[in-house]
Amino acid sequence: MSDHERFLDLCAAFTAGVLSPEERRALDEHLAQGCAECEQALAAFHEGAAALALSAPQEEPPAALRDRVFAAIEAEGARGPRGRLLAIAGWAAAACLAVVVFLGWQRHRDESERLDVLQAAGARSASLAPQADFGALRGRAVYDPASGRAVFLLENYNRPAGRDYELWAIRGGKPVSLGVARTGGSGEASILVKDLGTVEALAVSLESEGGSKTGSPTTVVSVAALAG
Amino acid sequence: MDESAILASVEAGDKDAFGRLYDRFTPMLYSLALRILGNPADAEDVIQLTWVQVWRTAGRYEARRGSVASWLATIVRSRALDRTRMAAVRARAEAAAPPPASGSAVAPFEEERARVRRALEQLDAKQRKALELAYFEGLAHTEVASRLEAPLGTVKAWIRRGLLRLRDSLKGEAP
Repeated sequence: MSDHERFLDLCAAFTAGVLSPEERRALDEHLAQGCAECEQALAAFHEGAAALALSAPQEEPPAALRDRVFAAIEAEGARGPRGRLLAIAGWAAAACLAVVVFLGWQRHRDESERLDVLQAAGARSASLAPQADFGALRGRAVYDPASGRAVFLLENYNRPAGRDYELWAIRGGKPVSLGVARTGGSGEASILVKDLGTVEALAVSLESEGGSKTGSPTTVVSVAALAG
Repeated sequence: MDESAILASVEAGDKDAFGRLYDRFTPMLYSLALRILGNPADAEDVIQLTWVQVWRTAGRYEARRGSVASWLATIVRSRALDRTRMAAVRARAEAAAPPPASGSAVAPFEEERARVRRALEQLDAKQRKALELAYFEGLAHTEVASRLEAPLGTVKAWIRRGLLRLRDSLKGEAP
């Protein structure tokens, strides 16, 4: 095998993600010298890898995911020149820069915290499973044990006249109110809850306007189990 | 509008363009994440993080380095594999119910998918397995070789030739 053939193998291995650190360094050095053949090969291998991605069994993404993504985009706020600042490395390194691109932009504080929870490495995300008779409710709870914060992402939580939704944490088997959820016109909301401590589950209940008068949930409409 | 132009609009802050991009690629990307992670909650998180990253860094896409699909797949795969390396997620995957059975027809890329399937079927079983172990499970060359009890050099050649053959299948060329 000629010396250069070896680099073409490394290009394929890089694309397939099977490069060892030593091999990675060798390839980096080679590419840094500028090699049109390898660049071309890399592009071809990337297309092959994308084809492999298409061989995964096809699953329909949940509709609520789209709203979640758009909520996160909204939370990003106005676009700035930050993308340019980071446009330093090669395209193939895009994935490696995942950490870097999360740094260095300005966000509104609350939105930023919400995003922190959604992106926390140890965050647990669970669907808010609707209880019987409330099948139209869609939602997800994301809980970050490290910071004790959670985000409720609600959809289709339209408030009946004279009623309010209330958020709950279940801690040690007991419900603790997290306050009333003011959902928007189409029943959507993205609500950050702080200082939760350790919780086993999060829940939403339907209450009379202003929230539960008894300190306990009246009609539980959805529950997300976070334990384990 | 071609994909590069859509990305340029996204870079400029166009949310409609972003929505078009999302709708076109998410079925494929979600399926990829689910294949690697094995549970829907983690797959959804990875997809969300990926799209937020795309929103922030759309300007970094370079057409000459590959298609938008391959760019996005690279990001999703890398993030998904990072997650599988966290033990907690493994435990969750074991506890979670298996993903719902496939069968829903997802419109985008249907033709490409059929071509890829045919190309994969024509590969030697071990070569196909080598590609899958590397791509979906993130095993290193040497691990793939020992798992398949094949010489390292052979595994390297399988992967290189396999990727090119799959690339050709996408272009509609006879493998």
